[in-house]
Order: sequence, then C-alpha cells, then structure tokens
Amino acid sequence: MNILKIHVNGFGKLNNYDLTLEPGINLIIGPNEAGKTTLHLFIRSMLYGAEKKFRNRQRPVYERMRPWKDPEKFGGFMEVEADGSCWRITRDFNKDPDDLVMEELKDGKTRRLSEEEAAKQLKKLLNDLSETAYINTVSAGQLSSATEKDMAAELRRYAANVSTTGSPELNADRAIEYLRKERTNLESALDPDAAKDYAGVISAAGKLEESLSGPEYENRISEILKQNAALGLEAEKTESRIGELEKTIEQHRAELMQYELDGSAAAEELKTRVTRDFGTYKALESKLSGKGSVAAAVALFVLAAVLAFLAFRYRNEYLSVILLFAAAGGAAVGAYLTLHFSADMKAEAALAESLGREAKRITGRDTVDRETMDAFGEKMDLLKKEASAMEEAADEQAALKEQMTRILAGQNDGKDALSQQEQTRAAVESKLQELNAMQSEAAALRKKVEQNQLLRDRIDAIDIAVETLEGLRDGIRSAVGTYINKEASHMVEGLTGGAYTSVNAGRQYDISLNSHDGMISVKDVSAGTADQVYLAMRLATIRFIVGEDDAIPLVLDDSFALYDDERLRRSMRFIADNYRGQVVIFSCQNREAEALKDEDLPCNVIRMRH
Amino acid sequence: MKFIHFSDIRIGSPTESGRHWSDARQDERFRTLRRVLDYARDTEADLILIAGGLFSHQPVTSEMDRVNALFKDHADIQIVIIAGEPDCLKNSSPVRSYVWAPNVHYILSGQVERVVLPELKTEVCAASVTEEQGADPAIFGLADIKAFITSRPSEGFTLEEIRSYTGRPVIRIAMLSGSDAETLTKTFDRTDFTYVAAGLGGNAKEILPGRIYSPGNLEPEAMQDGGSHGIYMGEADEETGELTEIHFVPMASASYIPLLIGVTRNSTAEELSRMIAGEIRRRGEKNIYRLKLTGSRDPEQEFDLEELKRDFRIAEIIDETEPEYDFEALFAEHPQDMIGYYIGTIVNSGREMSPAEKKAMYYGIDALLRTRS
Repeated sequence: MNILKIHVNGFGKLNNYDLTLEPGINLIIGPNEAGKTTLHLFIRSMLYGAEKKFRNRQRPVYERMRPWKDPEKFGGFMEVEADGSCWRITRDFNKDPDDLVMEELKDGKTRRLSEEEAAKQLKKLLNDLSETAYINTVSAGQLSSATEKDMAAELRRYAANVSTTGSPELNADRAIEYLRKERTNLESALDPDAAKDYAGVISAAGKLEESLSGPEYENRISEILKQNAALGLEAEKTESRIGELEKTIEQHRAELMQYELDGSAAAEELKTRVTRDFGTYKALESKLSGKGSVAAAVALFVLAAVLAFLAFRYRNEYLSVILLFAAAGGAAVGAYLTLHFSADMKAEAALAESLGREAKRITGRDTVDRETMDAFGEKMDLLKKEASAMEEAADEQAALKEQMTRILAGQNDGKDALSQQEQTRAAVESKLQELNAMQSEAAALRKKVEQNQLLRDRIDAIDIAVETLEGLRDGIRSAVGTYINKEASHMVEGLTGGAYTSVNAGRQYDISLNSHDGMISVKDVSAGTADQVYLAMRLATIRFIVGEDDAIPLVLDDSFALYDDERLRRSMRFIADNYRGQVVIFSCQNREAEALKDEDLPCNVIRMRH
Repeated sequence: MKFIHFSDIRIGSPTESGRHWSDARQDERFRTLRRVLDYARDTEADLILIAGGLFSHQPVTSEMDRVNALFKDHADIQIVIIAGEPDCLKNSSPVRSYVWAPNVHYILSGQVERVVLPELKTEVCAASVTEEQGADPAIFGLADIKAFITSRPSEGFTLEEIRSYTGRPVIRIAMLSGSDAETLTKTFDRTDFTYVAAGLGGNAKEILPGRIYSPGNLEPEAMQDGGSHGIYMGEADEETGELTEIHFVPMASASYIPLLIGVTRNSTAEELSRMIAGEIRRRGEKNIYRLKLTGSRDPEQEFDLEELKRDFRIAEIIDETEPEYDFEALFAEHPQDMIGYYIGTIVNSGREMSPAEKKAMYYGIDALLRTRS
C-alpha cells in the first residue's frame, strides 16, 4: 500500500493541510514544532481511528489532537493505492464512531463502500497489522534510551518480546513470572491445615458427643432427690414410731415395776409358783387337819411310854427287852411322825407366810384363801398381758431400730449418689461448653475450607495459563525467533556493510553479533550500531507480520540522529534497496536528504513550515 | 384464653461464629425472646407454647439461667416448653435436673405428658423429641378422651376433674416438634384438639387452617432462611373450646437479605462500596447480607470490598464478575502474536471452555497485557 495524498481538515496544530506522497522514499523535513509528529499521528488515526484509550501512559490521541481553535473540524482524508486500486479513507473524528467513509476511486469514478466492506477492505490494506503492532514496528521511533547500556537492554527486550510472543510489546517470560508470583501469593493465603483441622474438630466433637451418651453421664438428679426425699420421710416415720413405742414400753415397765415384775417370764413364774404353793399349802393344811395322824403320833408316844414303863416294871428279861424294843420302836415312829408333822407344820407356816406376802403384793389382800387366790390369778393374767404387750412393743421397736440403721445407710448412699451426680453435672457442663466451642471452631474452619477451595480454583487456572503460555512461547520462539534472526541477520549485514554478518537473539535474550573477529554482545557495541540492529529487527518483524512484500509504508521518525554520515548513507542505501514498500522519513535536519542525494537515491522531499 | 406459639429461637446458635457481629447476634436472640415475652404481657396472653428449639444445643447452666430469669419476670404467664431436634432430650441433658421457675413446664419425656392449667381451662398435651425417638404424631393417639383418662394424669388432675371444675368443654392443645405437614394433617385432622402447635422450623406455615400451625424459625439461621420470621398469636374461647383467632406476628431481630449487584466496565470499587453501604443503611444495618456481584468489569479493576465486611453484617461476598475482555477485539488487535494465538487455540478448538480454562485464559491474557513494555 502506498499513501498518495493526505488532507488534514483539523488535527492537532494542523488545519487544512495537504500533502502529496509518492511511492518509494519520501522525506518530510521540518523544524521541531512544525507538526511532524502530528502528521505521523494523523496517518495512524486515518488507518485505525483516533485512539481514545490510554497508551503508554499518555493521554489518548483523540484528546491530545482535538483542535481547540476549530473543534468541529476534526478529521480529514487520505488517499492510498494498493493492488492496482485507489482508495480514499475519510474520517470525521467528532462523530462517534468516527464515521469512516471509504471510497474506491477507479477510472475517474467514485464508489462508496458499505460500512462492512470498508472495514474489511481496510483490514486487507493493513495486512492484518494491528494498531499495536503498527506502533511497534512500522512507525516506531528510534531507540528511546540515552545510554548505550540502556539501548542494549531495550534492544534485548525488543528482541525477546518479538521472538517469544511475536509482538514487540508482549513478553511471555514476564507474564509467566507475574503469574507465578500471583500463584505464590494465593498459595500463601491458603490455610493448608484447614481441611485437616476441620476434620479433626468434627471428629473430636463427634467423639465428645458420643461420650456424653454413656451411662455414667446420665442425669439422675431428679430421681435421686425423689429417692432421698422418700427415705427422709420413711426415717421420720420410723423415728416417730420408735418414739411412740418407747413411751408405751416405759408405761408398761413402770406398771410392772410396781409389782416388782420385769417381764412376762417373771409373771409366769410367779403365777405358777404361787399356784403351786397354794396347792401344796392346801394339801398340807388338809393333811395336818387330819387328827388321825396327830392322835396316832400321840398314841404311839403314850404306848411307847407305857411299854417302857412296863418294861421297867417287869424286869423280865425277855419281855423287858421286847417291851423296850417295842417302846423304842414306838418312840421312834412317834418321833418320826412328830418330826414329819412339825416339818409339815413348819412348811405350812412358811407357805402361809410367803403366800400371804405374794398375795398382798399382788392383790393387797393377805388372807390366804381361795378368794384371794382367784383375785391373784386374775391380776396375774392382767399383768401377764401387760408384760406381753411390753415385750411385743420392744420387739417391734428393735425391728424398727434395725430398719432405721438400714434407712440411715440408704440416706448416706443417697447423699453420696447426689454429690456424685453433682460432679457428673459439672463434668457434663464443662464438656458441653467444650462442645460448643468446638462447633464454633468448626464453623469458622469450614469457611476457611471453602475459601481454600476458591483459592485452589484460582491456582489451578493460573497453572493452566502458565502451561499454555510456556507452550506458546516455545512454539513461537522456534518459529518466529528463527525467522527474525535470519531476516535480521541479513539486514544487519547489509546495514553494517558486512562488519557484522549475523545477529542472534539468543535464549537469554542477549543479542550477539557475529563479526570476523568473533561474537560480540550488543552491550559492547556503539550506540549507532545498536540502533542499526534495532532497525534491522524492526524490519525483520515487519516482514514477519506483514509479509515479504513490505506492503505497509515504513515511517521513520527522526531515526538517524545518532548516525554518522557513513552509517547514514549506508542505511539509506540499505533501506532503499531492501524495503519494498513506501518509506516516509521525518527529519528535522538536512542530513538524510544529503545522504540520499549522495547515494543517488530518488526521493520525494517535502518541507513543512510552522 | 390468649396464647402465643413460637419455636426455634435457638439460643446459643453457633452458625455465625467468627464474624465481628456474632456475639451481638447471640444477644439478639435473647432480646428477641424478651420481646416475645413483653409482647405476651402487653397483649395479656395467658400461655406461651415453645414448640422445640429453645436452645440450639444442650444448654449450659448460664444459658438456662438467663432464659429462666426472663421467664421468672413474667411469672403470671404459663410457659410450656418441649425439646426439639437441636436441643433434643438425652440421658445426660442438663435440662433434666434444672429447676425452672414455677410458671415453666418443661416436658422431660418423649411420651405425651399433660400439663393441666385449670385457671385457663386448658390442658396442653406435649411430647419432647428425645435421643431415641423422633417426633411421631401417632403417639398423640385418637381424639377419644378416654385414651387420656387412662394415661397418667399430671399434677393430680384428671380430665373429669377439670371438666367438673369448668362444667364445660375445655381447651385442648397438642404440641410437638418435627414430623412433616402431611403426617401432621393426617394425624390431627379428625381429632378434637383446639389447636396443634407444631414446630417444623424453616418458614411459618399454616398446615391446616384453623387447626395446625408451625411458626418456623423465630430467628433466621442462615442465608436459606429468607422470608418473615415471627410468632403465632391466638385466642381460644374458654366456654366452647374453639379457636377464635390466629394470626402471624413478624418478630425477628434481623433478616438475611441477598443483594444482587450488577457492575459495568465503568464501576469502581469506591463507587460500589458507597452504593452498597447506602443500600444496606436503607434496608437496615441489623440485617445480614449476602452480596453477589455480577457483570463485566474493567480488567484493571479489582473489587476489594473487605472494608464493607468490617462495617456491616455481611455473611459473604460472591464475586462473579468477569474482566471484560472483548476477545474478538483482542484477537483482531493481536492476530500474529501470543494473545492472538492463545485466544485462537481456545476459541478455534470449537468446544465449550471449562470454567477453569476460561479463568485461565483471563489470567493468561491479563498477565500478558499487564506486563507489556
């Protein structure tokens, strides 16, 4: 494509400005404030529209170039030729979108293209060169760095970018490094233990809950309190019953004491004895009252006495002895009887006395007769009943006392059980508090786990991106890098007049130049040489992007300020010989014009004034 | 006889723990309980029915003390409480031995117990959820009164005694937690209960008009608990035993509110912050919000809204915005370089990008653009 005519309606400081260019080399010479850069930007804006984005931290072209004197006049047109056809590109930057009009000029006739056709045709004219690529290749200025070291670095960057991404702007390694750093940041935000801790807390809480369901934690306090209360009542009842019984027993005992009796055994014994004695007494009485016995005794004594007297009277030996024996016998028997009777009488007297005593004690009567005995018997029965009652009461009391011991033991157990339960309560309480804390912790940890998952998703995405970029980079490097090196080498050789035969943008992006004397790093060459290498790389990149027919006008804006005359001439020659497309050189001095003249290179010279 | 029926206030709930407002939220549950009790007093309610979920877990003594103190302050209102699933009765449950205020009847059995309130001409038949047994409405047996005469009378009153005391039919209320609407309807449809106080959680539901109601969670637990939260207020006639009035009274301290925020390429973080803050203040700072951001954003913009989390109650912020890369335009701009290739390889593969691939592409392109010379 060649730009033939430019008409600036209004753009920056240019107003109603016309310019004619020719295929081949065009030289636009003008002082610094003449508007070269403006023109430069106008060309770009005609091709791509007035940019409204920020680029390289500069205010957008649209804002910068909006004329403040006549703002309605903001646009213009450009006529280009390509593939045997002519096209006019007209834009009015005040309209949004900027009202691109494209017309085909053929055989004197103008055909207006539709919007769709215009966009397609423009793209074709540009050979798919994007605005970014345009800025970085066809219309780039010189190396912007001042020192040689910086230039080398810039060059290296340029080479590195192009050979790894196909674009002078993009840098695969920096992008990858950026992603790796992002990844590290994300990883450091991960809580690697969150999932483990969460599982741990959940499991611990589960175990804790389970442990609480064991029988030792059963809450039996109500039950135990009820039991203890019941025992208490029972104790009370028993105690009071014991008291009652005690009273009863005392009463009975006192009563019996009056009769000098201590129990039913004693009473029984007394009654039996007295009854027996009375019987004996009565028997004796009747025995003794039988006069026969006394008379017999007396008679015997008398007989004995008579016999004894007779014995002494008759002193007949045989008779006396017999009579004496008989008397003795009679006396003996009489004595025996008398003794017996006296014993009985004594016994009778004794019995009478004791019976009388007992009877008096019990009945208050001292006559020993049947009536008294009856009264005695009755009273004894009563006393016996009382004694039984007392003894029954005593038995009951004893049993109750035994029961009381058991109850007390039960109450003690109850107290122990209660304090045991209270301890259990406290243990349960503290476990529940622990459980609550665990559940809160679990909730917080679960959130962390979720966050972790989000972070991991992002990390995975970064991994995919890095892998893709690495793959693309390696692919591009092998394809593009090789091409660029080859092309750039060819150009460097030409540009340097054979001083350097090839250029190699190596892996470490150190650019090395081959000369007869060996390899030299671009760091160590002069600024001028570095600039030439830059130019060579640019041209190689353009070739790569646009194709080998160089179908885009090359714009060189003040690119040769650092060149000495020799180099300048050589460069002009090289460009003229090697760039197959249109070339537009902006300069603020005459040197380029002179160099072209010296090399006998045809060029179209335009002078811009203020 | 006026009564109030609510459930699932879940004191002690740990769901919002870790947030700066979680302690405040705990207190709010107590305050809501107090509000309900004060409301009961103001409307001269005689009876409060708590159908499960008074606590969110086995309560500790301090929690029971605090609740009991509130109950004591309203000593002239009878309160019947059953355990629900979150605070179900276990062998080791502390409520088994806790001494409640005299106006509180805490049902400690999974079988139906009758709480007889002669002054109110009411009896409440209630059963708690225990560890062994979930809620089975069938245990409430038939409407046949005889079934209850044979069951053990509580506090020494038999139904006949009540009837003789009143001489008229009495108000009978059943209360249980758990089960489901269908089973409850089937079980209680043809019974003669005046009112069935169910506790199904979730949102308030009229399960069987004029008979069975479930008030839902009094305080919302989580994002899913949208809608209104509150209590049922009812009235039953002491002469006829009929339910004469039942209506829902919203009464929660806070609601969960989802906010959907659409962003555009021009949105900035400050702008969003300001807008969201304004919206939250308008709708109530006590409420709990979940923010969802959608739309396309300027790739250079990152929405850091963490400050909002500090100032307001925000449960979560879901950022579904995507950096607005016009991939077509980018592809047109970069046909011959890595960006173009990246887009090309993925777009031209023809198949749908997985979310990870999509995200990866954003990352890759973003990284390339960010690290431009």
